[in-house]
Amino acid sequence: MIPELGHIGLIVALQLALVQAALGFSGARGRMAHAAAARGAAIGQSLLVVFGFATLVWAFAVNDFSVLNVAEHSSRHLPLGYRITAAWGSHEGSILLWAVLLGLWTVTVAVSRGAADDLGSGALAVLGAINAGMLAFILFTSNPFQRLDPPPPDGLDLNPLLQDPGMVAHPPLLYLGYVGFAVAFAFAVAALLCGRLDADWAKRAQPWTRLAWAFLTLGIAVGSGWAYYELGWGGWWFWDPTENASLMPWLVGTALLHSLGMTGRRGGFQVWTMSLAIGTFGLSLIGTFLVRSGVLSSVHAFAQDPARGFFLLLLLALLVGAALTILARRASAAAPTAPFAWLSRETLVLGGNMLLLVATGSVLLGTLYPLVLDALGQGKVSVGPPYFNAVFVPLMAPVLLLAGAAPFAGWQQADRVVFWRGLRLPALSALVAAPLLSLALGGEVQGWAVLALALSVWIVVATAMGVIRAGLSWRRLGMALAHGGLAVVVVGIGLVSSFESEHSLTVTRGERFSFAGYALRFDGVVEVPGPNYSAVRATVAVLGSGDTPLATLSPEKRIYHASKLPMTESAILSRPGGDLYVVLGDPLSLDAWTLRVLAKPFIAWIWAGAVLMALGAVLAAMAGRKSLAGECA
Amino acid sequence: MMTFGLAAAGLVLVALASALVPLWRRRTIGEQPRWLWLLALVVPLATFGLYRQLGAPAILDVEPALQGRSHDAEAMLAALEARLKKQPDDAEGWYVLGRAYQAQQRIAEAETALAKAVKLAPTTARYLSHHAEAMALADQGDLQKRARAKVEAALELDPQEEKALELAGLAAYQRQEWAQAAFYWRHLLKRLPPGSEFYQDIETALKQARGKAEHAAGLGEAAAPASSPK
Repeated sequence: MIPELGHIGLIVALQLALVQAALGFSGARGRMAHAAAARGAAIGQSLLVVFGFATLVWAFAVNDFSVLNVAEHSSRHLPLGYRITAAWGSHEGSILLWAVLLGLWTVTVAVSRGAADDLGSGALAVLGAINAGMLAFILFTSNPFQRLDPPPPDGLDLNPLLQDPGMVAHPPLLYLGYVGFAVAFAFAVAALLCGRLDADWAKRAQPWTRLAWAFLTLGIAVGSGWAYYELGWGGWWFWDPTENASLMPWLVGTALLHSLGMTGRRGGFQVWTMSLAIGTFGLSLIGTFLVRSGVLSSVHAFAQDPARGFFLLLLLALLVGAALTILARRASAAAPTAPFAWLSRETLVLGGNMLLLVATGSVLLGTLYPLVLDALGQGKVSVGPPYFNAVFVPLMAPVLLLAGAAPFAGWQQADRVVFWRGLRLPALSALVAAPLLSLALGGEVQGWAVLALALSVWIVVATAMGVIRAGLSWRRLGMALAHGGLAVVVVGIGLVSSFESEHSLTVTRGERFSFAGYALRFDGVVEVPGPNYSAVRATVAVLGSGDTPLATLSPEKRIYHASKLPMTESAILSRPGGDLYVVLGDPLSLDAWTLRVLAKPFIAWIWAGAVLMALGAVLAAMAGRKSLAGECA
Repeated sequence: MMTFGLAAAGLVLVALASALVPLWRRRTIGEQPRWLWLLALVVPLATFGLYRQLGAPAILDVEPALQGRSHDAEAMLAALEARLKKQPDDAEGWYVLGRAYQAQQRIAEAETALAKAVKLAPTTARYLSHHAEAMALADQGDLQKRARAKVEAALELDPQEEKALELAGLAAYQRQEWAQAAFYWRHLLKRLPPGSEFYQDIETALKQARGKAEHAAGLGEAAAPASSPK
C-alpha cells in the first residue's frame, strides 16, 4: 500500500507543480494573493515529492520485491545502508531524486526573504514548470512504482560498483549542483518576465548559484575519487562522456558565478549573464539527458527505446527555447552596461568567461561528435584523453593566469601602474619557486610539473596579496579559499601526471620487494566472507626501518553472489605526499599472486583542493546572503 | 482498501490546502478569479483518473497475502505447515515443505515430510529421489544403507530424473565403481543448462570419476587426489 501512496503523492505533486507555475506567473504580474498561493503550492509540491521518494526508500528498506525497482536493484543480503541508497541506484530512482532536490531548492526559494514579490513569484513559477516537466517524465516514462505480482523471492542485487560510500554520496551531490543552477535560471527568466532587467535578480540568484556550484564541485570530486579507488586502474579522470557531462555545467557555472558578480554590482552585462544562467542549466539538463537516456552506452540502445531520451530533449528544448525566446524579445530593455576600459576587472572577468566557454565547447564537441557520427552510421570513433588534454589544458592555463591577475585590476578602469606592479611579486615567485618545487617534490625538473606549480604559486601569492590589500571580509575569504583550492587542485594534477609510476610483479607469501621508496612484504591471502559476496584478501605490509610494519594494505578480489560479478578492491595508503595503491591480480599457484603497485604523488591534493573550492563558495554564499540586507560589495 | 482511500484523500487535501489556504487568507484582495476554487474538484478527479491509468490498484487487494509470501522463509514455512494441516493429502505441498526443511538443515523433519509425499504419490520419481537424499543426509551421507533402494526405484520410474541420476552417480562413487559413477553423471550433464553452478559441479565430479576409472584401468595419468567430489 505504501508504494501506491507514494505513487499517488507524485501524481498530486505533478498537478500542484502546474498550479504553482500558473499562480507564480500570475503573481509575477503583480497579483500578490497569487504570489502567496504559489509559495504555498511550492512547499506542498515539494513535500509530496519528498513523501513519494520516502515511500520508495521504505520499499527498499523492507525488501518489498513487489516493487519492480526494488526487485531489480536490491536483494535480501544487501546491507541496510546500501538498500536505502539503492533507491537512487536506478534510472527511475535517480530521476526521482532529481525532482526531490529541485523540490528542496524550491522550498529554500519559497521561504527566502522577498519570495512573495513579483520576481520571487516568477522564479517559483519557473521552478514549478521545471518540476512539472520532471514529474511528468517520471510518471509517464520512468515510473519507480511499477509492481510485480507475484513478487520474486529475492532481488537481483545492486550493481557491485555502486556498493560503495563514494557512490552513495556522488549522485545527490552532483544533482544538488545540477538542480541548484535551476534557481539562477528561474531568477533570470523571472527578471525577463517582470521586465526587471537590473541588478536585483543577479544579487538574489548569487547565493544559490554559489551553493549549487559548491555541491557540483564536491559531486565531481567524489565521482572522481570513487573512480580512483573503486575501478582499480588508479586513474582519477578518464574524459569519459559521463564525466564530461558533469564538467560542462561546472565550467559554464564557473563563468556564471563570476558574471553574476558583475551584473549584481551595477546591473550591466544583462544579456551575457542571463545567457550564461540559461546555458548552465541547459547543460545540466543535457548532462542528465546524456547519462539518463542510455544514449551513451549505445546510440542504438537509445534508438530502440527512445521515449525517455526524447522526453528529456523535449523538456530541454521547451525550457531553454522559451527562455531564449523571451530573452531575445526583452533584451532591448536591459539596463545599460557602464563603459569600461580594456584594462579593467570587467575585461579580465569576461576574458575568463570566454575561455571557460570555449573550453566547454571543446568538451561538448569531443563528447557529442562520436555520438553524432555513430547515429549517422558513419562508424565509431574514440575521442579520448589525447584530444582533451591537447585542447583543454592550453585553454585552462590562461584562465588560471586571469584568476590570479583579476583582483589587481579595478572596476571600469584599472590603474596600469598599480596593476603591473602588483603582479610583479606573484610572477617572480612563480618563476623562481616552480622549478625548485618540481625538483624537491618530484626529484626532477619536469615541464608540465613546472607549469602547474608556476600557475599555482602565481594564484596563491596573487590571491593572498589581493586579500591583504583590499582587507578581509567573508566574501573575499571565500573567494581566496576557492582560488587557493583551485591552485591546490592544479598542483595535484600537475604532480601526479608528471611523477606517477606503476609496477606489476609476481610475489609469493613472505616475499619482500621495494617500490617507489617503500619497503613492502606480501603476507599471503586469506578467504573472507562478505554479507553478499565472498572475497580473497591479500595482506601487504609496508615496512619501516628495522622491518617494523608501518601499515598494512589489504587489497581484495570479490565475487558478488547475486550477479556473479568479480570486483577488484584496491588498497590505498594515502599520505599528503602521495598514495601507494595496491591491486591484487590473479593467482599463479596456491602461494604466488600477481600484484600491481602504483605510486600516485600528491593525488589527494586534487580532492582536498576541490573541498577547499566548495568551502570557499559556501562562505561566499553566506556572505552574499548577508549583503542582501545591506550594500552589495 | 479503506485506509488506502483515506490516506490518498489526505494527500490530495494537503496539496489543496497548501495552495488554497493562502488564497483564502487573502480573499479580501481583489482580482481573484472564482475558477481557482475549481481546483478542489479538478485535483481529486484528475488524481483518481491518473492513478487508475498509471498505478497498480489491483495489487492492493492481494497485498496482504503477498506480504506473507514474500517476507521471509520462516513465515512461508509457517503458512505451508498450516495449509498442510488442513489439507494433509497434498503431495506436492509435502514435497515443497520437505525441501524447505532440508534447506534449513532440519533433516529429520525433511525426511518425514518427504516420506509423506512419497506415500501419497508413490510413482513420482522426483519425490522418491529427494526422499532418498534426505535419508542419506540423515545417515551421515551414506547412500548405501536406506537410500540406495529409493534411488533405484526412482530411476526405474524415470531414468532421466536429475536428482536420481546425481545420487546414483554419487552412490556408485562411494562404492568406488568409478565407471558407473561417470556413466550416471554424463547422462545428468546432458540434461543440465551448461554454465550453471550445478553443471560445473557435476562436470568437476565427472572429471574426477573418469580420471579414477582410467587410472583403475591402468590408463592415463595418476588420478586427482582422492577427495569426495561433492
